[in-house]
Amino acid sequence: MRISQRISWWPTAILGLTVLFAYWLPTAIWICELLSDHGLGMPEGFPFWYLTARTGSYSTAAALLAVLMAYPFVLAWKLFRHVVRSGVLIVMSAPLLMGLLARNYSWIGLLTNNDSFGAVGRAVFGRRFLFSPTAIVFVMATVFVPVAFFIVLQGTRGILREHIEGARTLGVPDWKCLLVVVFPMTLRAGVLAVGFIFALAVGFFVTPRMLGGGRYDFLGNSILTYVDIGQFDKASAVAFAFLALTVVPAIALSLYSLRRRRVTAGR
Amino acid sequence: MSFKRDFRHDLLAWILMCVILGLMVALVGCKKNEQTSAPSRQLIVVSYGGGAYQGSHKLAFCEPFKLFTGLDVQSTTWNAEYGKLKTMVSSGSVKWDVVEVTAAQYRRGTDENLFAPLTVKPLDGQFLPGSVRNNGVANVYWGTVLSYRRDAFPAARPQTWSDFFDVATFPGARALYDDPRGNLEFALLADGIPADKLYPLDVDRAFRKLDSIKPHVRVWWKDGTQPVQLLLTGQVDLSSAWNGRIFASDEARRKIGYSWAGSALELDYWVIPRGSKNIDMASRFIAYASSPYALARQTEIVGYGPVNLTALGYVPSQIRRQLPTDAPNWKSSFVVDAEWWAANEETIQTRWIAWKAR
Repeated sequence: MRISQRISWWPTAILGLTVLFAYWLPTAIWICELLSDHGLGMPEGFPFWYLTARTGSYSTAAALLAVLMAYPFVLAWKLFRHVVRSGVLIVMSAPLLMGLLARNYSWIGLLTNNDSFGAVGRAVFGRRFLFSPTAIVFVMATVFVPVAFFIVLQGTRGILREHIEGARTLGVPDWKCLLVVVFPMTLRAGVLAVGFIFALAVGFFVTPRMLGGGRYDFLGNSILTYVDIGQFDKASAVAFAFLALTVVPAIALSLYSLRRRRVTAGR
Repeated sequence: MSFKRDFRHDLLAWILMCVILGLMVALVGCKKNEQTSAPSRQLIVVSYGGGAYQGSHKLAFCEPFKLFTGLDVQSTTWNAEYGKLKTMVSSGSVKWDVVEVTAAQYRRGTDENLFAPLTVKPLDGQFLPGSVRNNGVANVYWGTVLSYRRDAFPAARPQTWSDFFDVATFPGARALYDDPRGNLEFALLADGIPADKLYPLDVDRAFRKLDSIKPHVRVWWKDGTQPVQLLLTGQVDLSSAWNGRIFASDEARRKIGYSWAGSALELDYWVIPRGSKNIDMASRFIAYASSPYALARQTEIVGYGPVNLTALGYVPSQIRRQLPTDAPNWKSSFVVDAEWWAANEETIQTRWIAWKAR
């Protein structure tokens, strides 16, 4: 019996109605009230396209870098067992926990403190690294590496250990395994990870503010500033414009992807 | 398919639904409780800016008041985001009891009926004229000064805003507060406008002058602790900074120089957001925080100038000389015109965001 047949409709309907009346409807009413009170006016002279391009390009770069940085860990996970896997798990989980505590300040401390850690940090990354676009992209990428790792790892389920062992027996080095076995077979998961991380990254505003020194703010920073100074109409207008710009292509892409999946599935 | 079987299969959905409904009931219950509860035993005091300044509020005001009244006085901080306060009051979800706002925000908030009238007014001491109002009490004058790394400029040191804008004579990375208030005035002073002719501000001219310094600004700081850290760690060589943040740190006083010439003096106000459940105790807190001894204690910690002049009698002379309200410092500075900013802040903030984003 199919699961969809086993689940009767009414608990699902109650759940759906609860979400509809307790969340979507009040939210929609609240947004309508906000718009009727404050209108919807894009601020004059606001460089929307410029900021959108900056937000989009930095987020794309961070997403790509995060996925690329995750691949060696995925390879290590596939190639080794026990101790190495535990190490990878710790390395992947620690940033998630650290991120809750001091994601940006830890980097600023690392690169500015007048102690040996600060000196090492400056030697590795350079004195001009902090408050630059590179710092924003790099720190965002490090934040997202664990996310990319777990998504790409799911994509490796189709790769059998025997494939890699076979390649190793034939004398293929591990780095080449990554290129010719792991990477092609996880491409779909990698693309999914890039898309997912991009969606998360465009909403960032603390990292661009802290690591960029206020010079390379994202669109989210402007929206937040408009809210802070009580100009809700302008904040709403910018947010709505950005939403329209990103949601419409996202829906089109999803529909296309769904259609392509059906076609390839032979329906 | 029987009902029993359906129920068993859908157990997970049921549990999920119950959890959601339970949360909703709890949420509604909390909300109702908030709206109808009696004054709580907790007083939330919100300082404008964290770090040493918030520390001074804790030590000088919150802890003694807690000792005297037995109330649980909690100190927190904000960056004077007017929209946040406005939303809090208009939505009826007021969590704060005493809030420190800028003078421009005090005027705007009074016009927009955001503040509750005080039930008790401070009487102890001699206040500067206009400091004690129906909806709030002024507390301290603080200065935004030109500061620099002493070791970066061992010989000729930057003293005026013209020097700050002169990147040829005083090379190095700069930092400025991420807000047009103050920066427009500094730009105009650097462009040759005398301090007494600043207002009404020539906004176009100020932005034109700021264009020249923008490429040299490495950091637009948002928090008062930032410029001191940036200077101490050598990330920038010159910055605008709140004088109290330099005053409050021994290391900062040793390594950072600053000039009162053309510094912007601003006044902050204690207010009670309309909708606070502790208006009476909040008023008493404000009265206490405006009393001479409490203000003198704060002045010794953070170096801002109290508007209750009686407080100065309790402050040692070597500290008085470092206050914005000390006569020579006062004469070198200008007072930010809160009326002008209250009327123009929205428009200029919008322009500032666009200007900085480009």
